[in-house]
Amino acid sequence: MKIDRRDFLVGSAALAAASPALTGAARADAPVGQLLTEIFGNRKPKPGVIQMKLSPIAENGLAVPITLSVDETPANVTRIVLLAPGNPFPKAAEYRFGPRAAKVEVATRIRLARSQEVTAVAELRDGSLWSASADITITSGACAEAEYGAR
Amino acid sequence: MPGETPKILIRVPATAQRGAAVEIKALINHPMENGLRYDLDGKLFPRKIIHRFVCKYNGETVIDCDWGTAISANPYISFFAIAADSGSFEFEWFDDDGTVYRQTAPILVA
Repeated sequence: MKIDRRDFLVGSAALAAASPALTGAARADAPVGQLLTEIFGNRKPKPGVIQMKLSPIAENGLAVPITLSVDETPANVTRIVLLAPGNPFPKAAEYRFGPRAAKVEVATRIRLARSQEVTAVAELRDGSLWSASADITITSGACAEAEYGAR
Repeated sequence: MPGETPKILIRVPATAQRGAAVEIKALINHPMENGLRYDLDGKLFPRKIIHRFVCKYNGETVIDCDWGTAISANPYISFFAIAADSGSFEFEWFDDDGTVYRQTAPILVA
């Protein structure tokens, strides 16, 4: 798929016109508490154990580097869930570590629709939940929403 | 782009000490179309993302990921594996359209 700037701008305008729910500052973040309940039931995460490395500011939200790590052996960690509540689909990723993992650490790049608070939750083998959150500002201005999803 | 094999870039150390943690990096060319964009006629591009990624080392899992639409185009991931035996890392990317992209990388453990 090849997208030049012109196509992109026209397509973006179509997106903005067709889906007012996605545009403007009026759209509220999905409530994190509700997302967590959907994924983990009634257990509530406590802050700590998991670390998140995320720049506080990014020029655009298309590929934001993020690193997640947990100071526990891989065998002790059931999974890590990464949530971007300001995105159209808030659940960004889930990571499970196998017997050959050396440590619980993963780095990737994520798309963020706009400025928001990103949250990661680690579920340990004993069932406890631990979370870390970080605010990030996306500075691409008015085009932030339209640019979301472009290549 | 159906049928097209995406470009895959993998970095695995060629050799490692037994028991050492080795960093693995993997990137695949893929649009990760999130199903929210419209084309010029106002039609929605259908969602087409890689929704799962698995790395195994001589058949045993290193990492198993579910990916959502929030993962960037040309998804990149890095993580750490324990160098146990000489052999190979197997990487698998699962596309929404049912395709599985596969690649392996050898490692020599001293």
